Amino acid sequence: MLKEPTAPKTVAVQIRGLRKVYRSRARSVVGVDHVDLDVAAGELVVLLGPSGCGKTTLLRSVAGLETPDEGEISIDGRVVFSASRKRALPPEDRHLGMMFQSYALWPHMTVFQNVAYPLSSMDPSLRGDVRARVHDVCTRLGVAGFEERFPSELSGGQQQRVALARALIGKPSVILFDEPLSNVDAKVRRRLRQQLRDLKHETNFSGIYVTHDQEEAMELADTLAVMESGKIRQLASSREVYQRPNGLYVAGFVGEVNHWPAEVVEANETSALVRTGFGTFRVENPPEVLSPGRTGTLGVRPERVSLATPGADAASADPRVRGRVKEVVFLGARCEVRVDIDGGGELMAWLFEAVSHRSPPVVGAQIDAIFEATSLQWLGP
Amino acid sequence: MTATVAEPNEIAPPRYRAITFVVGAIVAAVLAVIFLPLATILQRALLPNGALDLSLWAATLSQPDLHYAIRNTLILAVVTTVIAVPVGVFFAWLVERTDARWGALSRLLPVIPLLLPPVAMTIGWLFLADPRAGFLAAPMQTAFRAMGLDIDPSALAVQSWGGLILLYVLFSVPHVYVVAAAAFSSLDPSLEEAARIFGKGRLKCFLSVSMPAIRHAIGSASLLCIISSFGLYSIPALLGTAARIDVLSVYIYRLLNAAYPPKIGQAVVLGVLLIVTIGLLWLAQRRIAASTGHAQIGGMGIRPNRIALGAWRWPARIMLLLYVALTSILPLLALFVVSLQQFWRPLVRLDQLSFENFFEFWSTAQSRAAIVNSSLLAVLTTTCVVLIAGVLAIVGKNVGGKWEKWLGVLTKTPSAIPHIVFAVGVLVTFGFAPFFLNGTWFIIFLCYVAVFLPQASIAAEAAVQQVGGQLVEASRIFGARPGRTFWTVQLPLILPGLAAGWALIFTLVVGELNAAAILAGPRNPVIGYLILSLFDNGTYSQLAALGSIIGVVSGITVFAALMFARPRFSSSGGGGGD
Repeated sequence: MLKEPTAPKTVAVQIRGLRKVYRSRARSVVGVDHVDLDVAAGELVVLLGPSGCGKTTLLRSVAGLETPDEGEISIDGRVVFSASRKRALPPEDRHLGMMFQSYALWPHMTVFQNVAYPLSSMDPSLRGDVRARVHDVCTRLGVAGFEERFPSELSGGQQQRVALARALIGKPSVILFDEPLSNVDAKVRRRLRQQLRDLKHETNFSGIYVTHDQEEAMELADTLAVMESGKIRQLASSREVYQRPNGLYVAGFVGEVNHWPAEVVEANETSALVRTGFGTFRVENPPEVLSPGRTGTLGVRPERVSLATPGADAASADPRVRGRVKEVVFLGARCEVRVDIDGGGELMAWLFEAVSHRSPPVVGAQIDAIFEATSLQWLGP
Repeated sequence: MTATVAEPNEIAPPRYRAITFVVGAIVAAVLAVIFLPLATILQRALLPNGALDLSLWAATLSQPDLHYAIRNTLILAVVTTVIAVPVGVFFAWLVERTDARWGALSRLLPVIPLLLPPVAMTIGWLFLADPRAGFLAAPMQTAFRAMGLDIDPSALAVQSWGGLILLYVLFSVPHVYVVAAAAFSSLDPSLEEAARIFGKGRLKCFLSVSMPAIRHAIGSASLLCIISSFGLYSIPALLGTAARIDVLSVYIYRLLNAAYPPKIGQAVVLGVLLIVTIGLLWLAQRRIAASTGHAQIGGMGIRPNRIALGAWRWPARIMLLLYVALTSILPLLALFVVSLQQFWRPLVRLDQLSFENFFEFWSTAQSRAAIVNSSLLAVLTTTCVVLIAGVLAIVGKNVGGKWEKWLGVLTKTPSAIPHIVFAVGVLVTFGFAPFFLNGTWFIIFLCYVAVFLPQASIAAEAAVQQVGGQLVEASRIFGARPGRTFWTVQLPLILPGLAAGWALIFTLVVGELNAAAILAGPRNPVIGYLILSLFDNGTYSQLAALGSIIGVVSGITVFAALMFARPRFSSSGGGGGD
């Protein structure tokens, strides 16, 4: 992947050639398939993918809770796992913090005991004033005053913040997040995400975050890794992944996308002309160099499509197609319009409330769908 | 050889070795205690004179009395299972899934009988329903007469098929309940809610949704029921004998104690047969149990909606209370009353009640010794066996895979051996040269440890299973080595489960009859030995006094154990410091 040149950062986690196969009597399933991944100091990498894509296995391998079959993992420059050298440090020697999906707060310990636990495992000289540190981190997370309570006496959101306090207190090299927000309701989740971003800003921790929620992933990620069947499909910033997905799988996983089968008619280094069932369109900066005759998919995000009465704004150079409004769905902030394209195919456009309010599309009416310049994407085969 | 530089602090942390050593020693000791007697038995049965000899088998199996005993055992096991399983499952459903429960107390109600040694329940029922002197016999006869039925008192005797089945069922229901309740509590309530929404009635919902949803647990409970019925000794020994209904366990006891010289060979042959039968059943049970899920303690609590029983709520509660009355309250009351009487008689006269029996009982050196021995043995063996089971369960969970499976098999092996057979094995193995432990409390200790290991490890494994894997993983992630993880996270979380197991086993040890019959004697009396000799002598008031003492001691101990380790998590887990 091309990345903007930045000042050399120290690497918090380095993963090379990691592979994990689950073997049972009947068959073997590849959990993680030759993955390379770097997490820079202060960087939060989000692993995004459907269940079974290997993201949790990858995370647990870093934690030391799974033993991979091949590859190498180093944390802070220290090799914690190496298949070739037969080395696997146990989790307690990796100096990590972790948030679990089930919170994993110990029900028999108070909040104070839970949060202080990582400190009491440490060398006493590094421990410092335990009470002050616990109080400090609890205050920062808004759970101060609950120190003497048991986890069962807290709400889900509070429990999750205690779990975060416990992950942060030891100032670990890396914090691992295993779908930590999937068990709290939507509102609390939103607030916790905001809080997590603030904390990230303040303390600049490095982390790996596993989720299947694309909105959560994009909000939190410095770098987003979209995974499929044990492999990382694309690794880039949220913006780049969304705007320049390297394939239909990635495009579809991080958002909605209109897509149609297409064939390359002509191509050069920076652009290509592709033909669909309802017209021929130019694609700028395709993710790979294309050659005429290749078949694949043409895609456009629904929010990059605008609608106009037929023939209006004829001066605009943006490509357009004609069709008939099939359905209009009001969704609050936006309005989803489905259009049957003349010449075959369907299209979805999202209009912001302000736009759709001014001139609401009418079901059955003829309409022009206009694709914003550079919004058309080549999504590969 | 590779030339890599040694990095000692990164490879093979040293503390694993100490743990490995301790666990290895425990496993070796357990292996010896279980398998030495077993091997001795097998050797005696198959190679009595150093060569394969089946004439002993022919002699054993040709006894007509044996066929009768086997038939009776089978009838009792099947009928008991057919009755006890539905009743136990139904109780579990009432308590776990409906609003018939009230408070945490109702969860305990059905298991109260587990806290009373079966022998105390049996003696209590003897006092209640003996056709001539039983407290219930005369009132029931009067009641039937009032209804116009003239019934011979012996038709109501507890020393009959009906009585035996009643007591077997009362004994088995709590075991079924425990298995079924665990399954119900982990069952997704929306299954039942969906059934209600689609218009099924309450009973229909129970029969067509709840029962099938836990069918694995039901299968498992049924086999458990059959196995425990095979090995049951106290009930048939005290009641079956008078009714002339012999079962296999009593038959084996007779071979050893009523025949002279003791027919150890025949007993051993029957033991081997029982071991094989129960072992096969047990394998089937394990198959089923393995596919049954477990409820887990997680970070979050689920509060399932309970089915409202409406008008049926109180009848359901009364049924539960009636059950507790039949299994615990009535028999205990009968025990108390008889123990306060000079002679056992159905008419209670308050002015004649006294504590005379207890004083007389306590003044006998033999009785005193028995009670002291039994109490010490019970505390010691129970603690040892629960700790061993706990350590093995945790180790099993940590190592996982094949090792976990084999540890499970190892700890359950004694459950395939009737206590009475195992006690014979222990006697033959450790009683004489080179150990010479016959007549000591230590030989009883050895036997009890092996015999109660299965129950202890079932309790320990259930407790360990309940601690969600992430709680343990979190501890390691946050820097705790396995030792510290054990002491600060695993042990405190499984302690309530272990305490429950401890309480259960304590009551079993206190009232244990089988091993006591074989291994105890005038030199090392225990309560079980005392019970049998009092029963044989017909000194019922003394027997009642002893039963009362067992009941009260068990009750207090169990209560204390459960209080000590209430899962309220209000005690410190030691997380604050080292």
